[in-house]
Amino acid sequence: MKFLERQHLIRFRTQDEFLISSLLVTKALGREEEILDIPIVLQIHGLLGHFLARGTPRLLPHALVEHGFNAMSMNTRLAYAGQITGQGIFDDTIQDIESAVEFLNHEGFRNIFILGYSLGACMAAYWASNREHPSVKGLILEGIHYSTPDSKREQFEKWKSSPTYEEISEKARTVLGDDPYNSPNDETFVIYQARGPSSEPLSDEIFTYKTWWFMVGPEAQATMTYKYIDKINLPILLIRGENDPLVENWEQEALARVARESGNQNVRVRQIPDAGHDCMENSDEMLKEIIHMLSKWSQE
Amino acid sequence: MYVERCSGTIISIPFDHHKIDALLYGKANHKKHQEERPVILRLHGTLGNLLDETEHELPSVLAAEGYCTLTMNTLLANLGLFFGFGIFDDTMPQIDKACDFLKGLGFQKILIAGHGLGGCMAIRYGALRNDPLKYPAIKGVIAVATPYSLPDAIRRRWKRFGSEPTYDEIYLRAKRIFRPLAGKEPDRDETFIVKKAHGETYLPKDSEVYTLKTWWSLAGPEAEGTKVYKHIGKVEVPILLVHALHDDIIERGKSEDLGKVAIDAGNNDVTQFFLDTGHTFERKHDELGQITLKWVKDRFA
Repeated sequence: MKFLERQHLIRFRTQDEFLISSLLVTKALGREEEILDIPIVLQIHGLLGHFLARGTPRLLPHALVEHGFNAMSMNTRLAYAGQITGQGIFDDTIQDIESAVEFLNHEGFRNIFILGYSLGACMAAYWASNREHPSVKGLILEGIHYSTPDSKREQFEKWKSSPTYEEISEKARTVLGDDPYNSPNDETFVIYQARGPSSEPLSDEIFTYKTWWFMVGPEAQATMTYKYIDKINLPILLIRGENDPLVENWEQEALARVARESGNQNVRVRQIPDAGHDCMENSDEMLKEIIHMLSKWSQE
Repeated sequence: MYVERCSGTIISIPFDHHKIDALLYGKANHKKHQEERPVILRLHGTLGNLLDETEHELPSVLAAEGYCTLTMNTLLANLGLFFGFGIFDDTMPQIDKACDFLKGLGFQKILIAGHGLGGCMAIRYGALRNDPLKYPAIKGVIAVATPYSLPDAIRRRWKRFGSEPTYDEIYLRAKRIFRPLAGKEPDRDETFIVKKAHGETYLPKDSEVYTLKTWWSLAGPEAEGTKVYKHIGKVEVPILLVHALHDDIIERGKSEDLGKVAIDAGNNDVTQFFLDTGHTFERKHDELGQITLKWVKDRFA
């Protein structure tokens, strides 16, 4: 099927001049107007991810094109080592998504769906709670936490991280002072045993105090999805792998409840059987759910 | 809104249960073109990847003149140094695989090119694969902003800025993995941060992150692969070296002697250029492109 798709490596700048790379994958056949009418899924990677990272970021765009849709997978400022080099301030990713939407809209795509994977789902939800765009028709949140700071705190406690969540919070306050965003100070640090019981590097997490503060810290409002999902007016599909070891079953339901109670009646929750944190482990089921959401716009 | 449409195509090359990601630039559909014109295989620098600015400009210049390039991500791309799997010498079989891929496309002449750490990889590869009977496709090496010895360059830089911990402190820790004391189990690998490695502040921009194992193979005093001066003499194909006069990452110093080492070893096609710029060749990408282009054309047009 590869010959049926067309790839475009696109780079564009955000309002604050950050350079975003993205991979646009569309059908190779058909007239341009037809392609622009077809729904496009704007995909956002997870923690330390990028558009070539294994699983959903890498596989989904091509799978979508095979099913007749378009996709653009983007690298935000949190891609690769953004949280380690200090440039990946979570709140600022809103500008990255904004620019991507603007780019797609300028290209002529009229039916844009934003899909975030894991931390990317959190970015997508944060964008949608703050911005609206007539071309954006829906939101797909894969493996999203109810509250990233709470989940991280539990994760660090579970594996007995060193330093502890509280120790990092205290140090971050000391380093960053009263105005963390504008603080001239910052430092890189390692959290040992953050992701597993061993002290091997693969169990570590690395942040700067600033990136940690805005993504994981106790006052990281932008990653506490439950606090703002009620402001999203778009249709929402929440998906979670049935065997997801990171996101608990209740988290999707609880988020859906908050959204519905605010009046959003177009909220769907789906478990993907035989899949872990990455729902593309069962690509057929994952695609079925996504296509179900997209197909209405495809017909129109 | 600034938008740039790159003409490259992302491809994946299967390797050892994983995939090597690469960006193929330019088209060469004619058999004659592929047989006669070299393709340039490009290797990223420290923490780099195929999307980096420095990886991006040169392919455009070369593609405009009909030369294809393949920019690949090695194990040292992105997060490789941070999480323990980015071991310098393990990148060599990956480069083999990328060469096999290019030969599979029909290319018969391959130039190995790299910037910074990528230059170290390119020269190491050229030295290891220097038998023209076994590796007839390897026709040249291009090394940009490449240090004389990466371990020495790092050691000097850390000393200059008063790094915390020091180079020698890290060496002692790393030795406990590779040379444990008699009767002791080797230590486990461990991530560490070096503050004030690139400048005088504690800010992330002046810090470096490694694991003891990745540091040992790349920057430690016993890291053979990145001591470029030890390998460049074994490269038997033409070499192009381009240095930056104001390189604050690797320091100028002995880097300029690399060409002499290669010539003294008997290589009669060694070219060196010095550009008035810094390590990333900011504002000099065009000039770098033209130098490379001319060097390639003079030999392979």
